[in-house]
Amino acid sequence: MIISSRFIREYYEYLKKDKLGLTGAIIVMIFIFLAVFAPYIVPYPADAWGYAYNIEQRLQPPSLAHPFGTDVYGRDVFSRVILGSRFSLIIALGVVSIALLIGVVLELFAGYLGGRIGTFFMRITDMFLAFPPILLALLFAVVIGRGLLNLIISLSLAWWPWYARLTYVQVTTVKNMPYIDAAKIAGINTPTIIFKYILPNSLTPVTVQAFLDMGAAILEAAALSFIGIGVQPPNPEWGLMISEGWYLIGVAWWISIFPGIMLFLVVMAFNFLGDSFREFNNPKVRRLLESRGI
Amino acid sequence: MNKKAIGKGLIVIIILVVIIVAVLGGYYYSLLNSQQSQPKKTVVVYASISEMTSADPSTEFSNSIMWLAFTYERLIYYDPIQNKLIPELAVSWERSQDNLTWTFHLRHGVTFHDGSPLNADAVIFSLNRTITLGQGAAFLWASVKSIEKVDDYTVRLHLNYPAPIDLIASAAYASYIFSPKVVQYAKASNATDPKISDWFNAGNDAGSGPYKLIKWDPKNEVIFEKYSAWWGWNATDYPLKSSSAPDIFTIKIVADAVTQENMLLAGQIQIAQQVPLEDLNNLKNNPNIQVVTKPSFQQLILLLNTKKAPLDNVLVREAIAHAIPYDDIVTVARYGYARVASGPVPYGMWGHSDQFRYSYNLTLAKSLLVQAGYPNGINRKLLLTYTTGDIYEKRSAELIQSALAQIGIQVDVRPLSWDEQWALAKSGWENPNNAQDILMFYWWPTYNSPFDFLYNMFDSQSKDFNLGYFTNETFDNLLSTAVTLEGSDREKATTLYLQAQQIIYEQVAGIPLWDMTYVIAASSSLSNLDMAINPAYPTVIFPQALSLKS
Repeated sequence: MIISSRFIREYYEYLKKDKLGLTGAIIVMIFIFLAVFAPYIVPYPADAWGYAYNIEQRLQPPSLAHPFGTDVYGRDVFSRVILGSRFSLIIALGVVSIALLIGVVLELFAGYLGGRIGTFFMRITDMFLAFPPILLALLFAVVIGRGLLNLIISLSLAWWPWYARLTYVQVTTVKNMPYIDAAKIAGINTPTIIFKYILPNSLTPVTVQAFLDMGAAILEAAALSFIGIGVQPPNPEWGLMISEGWYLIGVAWWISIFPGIMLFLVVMAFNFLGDSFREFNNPKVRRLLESRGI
Repeated sequence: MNKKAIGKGLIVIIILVVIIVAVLGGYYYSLLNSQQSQPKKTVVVYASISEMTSADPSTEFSNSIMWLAFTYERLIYYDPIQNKLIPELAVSWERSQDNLTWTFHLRHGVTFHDGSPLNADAVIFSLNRTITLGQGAAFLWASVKSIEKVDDYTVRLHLNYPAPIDLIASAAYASYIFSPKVVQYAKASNATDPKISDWFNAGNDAGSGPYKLIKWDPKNEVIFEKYSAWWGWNATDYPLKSSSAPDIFTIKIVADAVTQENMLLAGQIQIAQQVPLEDLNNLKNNPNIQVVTKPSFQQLILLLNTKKAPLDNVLVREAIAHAIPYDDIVTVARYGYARVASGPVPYGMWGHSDQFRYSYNLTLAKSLLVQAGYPNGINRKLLLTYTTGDIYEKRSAELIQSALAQIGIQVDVRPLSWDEQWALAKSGWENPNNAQDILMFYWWPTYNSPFDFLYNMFDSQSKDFNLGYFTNETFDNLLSTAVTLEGSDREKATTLYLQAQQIIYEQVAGIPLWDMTYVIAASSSLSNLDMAINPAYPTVIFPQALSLKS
């Protein structure tokens, strides 16, 4: 497996030299911290969840009491932006892991069995790949309905073909390796071969890709929420907050600017981190690092 | 010559041809333009949020009122602010003792845009076509038995039962008079031939109003030109006009308020139908912009599903009515540009009363829920639907959501397109358990009577808009008596309408939220805007009343 203590130590050493990657990693760690502890650290939890409103405090510009100002219902934008990170993290993890599960499991079997079954699954994958993922997700979201869970499901359904294709390619390469032939000759049963030998050896590219996709998943979820078919009010999802504030951009810029900045930072951080992770997993880079004794 | 040379020669020729065509075309175009621009025409552009719908004056029952109202004319024009009927195509009218016969004396010297004269035949043709087609708001004329031509300029309507024909003749829909020659223009066989509708919808008009339709592109822009032969420009008894009305009036579709505001500030449009209300103070301080506010008959109302648990219990409905912070909703949703509603008949309409307001009282609301048998709140999420894209409905709905959460009622607020929302709501007559629990929508009058509000939204016969499925025999009887008295005994009718509203109030069949105040932002170069807006003809700007400062 690629995740091991040695691996983490190596990556940590690598990050020390990769400033962009390090910045990304720090922002992502802050983001995860906020997402986990948001309800306990925000100054106005009721505002954050959206179940309170305060008419006297509406549309206040940023101040000490409300660092990011207040929105049209008088809710504290700062609290909502912070809690919004939890929604984005849930979406990113949810989408990527469900898509990974579907894509990897499906193509693991398709790739190993090959032949007609493999072709059949690959053609289905191709059909999905023919659509831009955002359009497909839009379609699913409209059909199965609004809300956080449905948003995750519809994005995952649009997302898995990318992982499927990567896995398929990897599996077809790995299954022709001599050690798989050796395992077959030794009489080891098929499930064991698939899960014990093929899966671990084909997982690296798809995991790297999944890591790269975290930012994209957050961005697309925000886009769907922005047009109103993702997370529903009064929940504080960033895309939704931008769309709520957009109408008042001339009067109260702070309502949509701050969630926008957060969205930008987090997506950028995930991309930096993903890029550095990909570089690190590049065999040439690895060999170079190893030659230097890292 | 080899192949290559032929190719080069061809390319040179093609380029030359293109250049020559472009030069000639450009010269011709500039010639055309310079000819057009010689008499300088004044233009006013009005930005509309919604697209225009159909163009048939008999059947149209939607957004196209925005221009039908000044391209066509009615027999009578109604001014609801002064509660005055103003003669339009009819100079005078009288009714018989038994209120069953109405006689209209038509104006002389009126011509339609095609040059043909307005006479009794045209009026009878128009009304008959509208009544026979029976679509849109044609139901207004349900009381009419027959229409008789007394002489060329006198028309008599015979009724089955007394009805306020003067109000109906001034309605915003189904009241328009047009030239009978449409039959020839459309090559139709008779007045109800669908070919006539097609002819209208192709962008033709046959009206007599101060402006005629010259460009019909309902999804982008619709353009009108002043009709110089309009009778009203010189008529002394008709107030709705101006000596410096624009030559060209354009309705431009701009689907959102923010863009409308920017276009207004940039001078691309002169009138904005909607601007973000929170921005009004900035606009008011801008010397180039004026803001006009006017009370309207447009009301935002909740219809409660009276046939589905838990809202079939009047105590639960009452609890909800007392848990809604009406003043806060007006502040947040309309930035104060609305009036907390009292009863389904809006403020300013006859038959309105200030005694139908629910108090905002959470203790009372909670105790009502306990009485109803829900001490711990409702155990399922109630579904509230509203029309997607409308920011005022959205904010009202979201505030109601958080307000009801405080008495233990969770609400699922769902924006739907009007078609979806309406289809779901209408299915409730078949199966109320599948429909929404709370429907939020606007009502504005077809003609100026409480009957229009009360019948459409609450009568058990009104399957299209009674979307709370309210059935109450006493209420229905009160309405059917009141409507026959409207034409003869307005006072008695008013009393009955108040009794009917008392039933709605006690049964909480609907919860009226607010009566909208229209807010129009316009360029300061226009004056008389106040007169050009009339709540009886919602969303219309009457361009003939506008004055342009140079």
